[in-house]
Amino acid sequence: MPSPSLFDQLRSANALLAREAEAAYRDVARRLTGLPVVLRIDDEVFLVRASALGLTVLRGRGPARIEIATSRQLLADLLEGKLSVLEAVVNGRLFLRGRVDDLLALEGAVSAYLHGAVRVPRFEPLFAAFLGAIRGERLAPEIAS
Amino acid sequence: MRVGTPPRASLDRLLALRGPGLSLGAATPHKEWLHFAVHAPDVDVVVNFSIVSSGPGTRRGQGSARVGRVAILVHTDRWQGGLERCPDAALAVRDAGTRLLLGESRLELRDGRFFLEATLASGELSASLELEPITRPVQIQNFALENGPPMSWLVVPRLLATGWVRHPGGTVRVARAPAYHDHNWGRFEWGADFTWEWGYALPREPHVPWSLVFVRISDRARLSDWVSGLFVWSGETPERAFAADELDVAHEGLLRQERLLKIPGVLGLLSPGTDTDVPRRLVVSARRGADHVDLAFESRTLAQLLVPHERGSGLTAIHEVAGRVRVQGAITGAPIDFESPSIFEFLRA
Repeated sequence: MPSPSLFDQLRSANALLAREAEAAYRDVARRLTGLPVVLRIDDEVFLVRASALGLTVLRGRGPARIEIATSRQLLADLLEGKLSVLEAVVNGRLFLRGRVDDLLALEGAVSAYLHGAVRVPRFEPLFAAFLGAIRGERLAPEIAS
Repeated sequence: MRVGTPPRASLDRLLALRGPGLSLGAATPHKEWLHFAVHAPDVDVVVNFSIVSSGPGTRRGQGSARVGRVAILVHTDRWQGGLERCPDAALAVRDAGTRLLLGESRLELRDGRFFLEATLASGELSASLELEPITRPVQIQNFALENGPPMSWLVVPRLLATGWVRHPGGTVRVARAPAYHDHNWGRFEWGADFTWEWGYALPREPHVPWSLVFVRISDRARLSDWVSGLFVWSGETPERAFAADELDVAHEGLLRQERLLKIPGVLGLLSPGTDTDVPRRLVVSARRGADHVDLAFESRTLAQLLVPHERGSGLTAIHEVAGRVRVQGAITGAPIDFESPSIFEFLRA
């Protein structure tokens, strides 16, 4: 079974954060306002923009101040604590491009996002579903061989 | 505080889940957890079942919004572990609290023995164990954290565990291995002004009669202790409880390691780095008249469980620390002298 798109998962996660951790959601939006981010995760590309109204996720590229490129496997490894963000960057598994000040602002936004998400019980099934799908992809080649 | 040693006939009822009780209007969720540690020759295992119940509830928690969790930690040459969340729909407390079902995991009490089945969804870690208490429980009821509602703690320091543990390195058979159990319940908030540290000493050799448990609950700055004690059993019987004013507790050095398992991993992203203030050595000296006990725990390696504070953005870190404990002393003229593996816990808020 194909994994759900990260685009859809991110939009669902944002909606959940907005609904159940509004203060964190507004904090993330405030930190990212004026800092559009392009994400390339495997073969998916999307743009995240923020304003006082909240977060918007759009398919495809657009004008951005920060670019992130990585894989779903790496995101799963980060969520499972198998390596740190610094190790991922140093190992070449996470590519970040932007001004230092912008990247620091992004770090603050991601941190605010996670602080909100980990306090919303309904995020746990989302994390689990994402990790479960990735584990399935990891196992598939082993089963096939 | 009351320390009691009920008869074995009521063991199932005593060891069973308590539930939130009648709690109309209680603002702080009821928390309850059952903790087990097993020391087999090639593996140490920690399994922790917990339930958080919010809102008004009945005696066994029906009517509350509940979330259960199962944590499994396995220590071989390194720590491996994970935390499984179980929503209310997959959680059941049955038979007067003697059966707990948490998704694929379960804990049952029958005839004074625990039957434990625990597994993570990843399939990497699982355990199936029968645990037979060989010491009588001690219960400390109604102590307060940060002037809050009362907490209670029940400890069975020494059990014999039989069964198996599976981890990525293989399946380990466990045969009458020394094990530890405690059970905590009450209402408090993660992130409130408290820390704790506790640990146990239980010998591998069956003929050594002594079992010991140390506990200290303090404020966040660790300037004031709210509860502390060193409890000593001889055979199945609680023999001595050293009180706070009979204890001297010292930390020596700091434990350092290059990598640190953080559970759940997502919280590790919010708490990067490997520095902790877990001591390399914890020394507890207890004196009362001619009775004296010196307990020294040497920390070897640790794993970290992280819990979000319920107010604010902080995290509580619960360190499970594998090491060796050495105990020397004498109680009523009988010498104590043994060394054994142990897992001490250090909570920092």
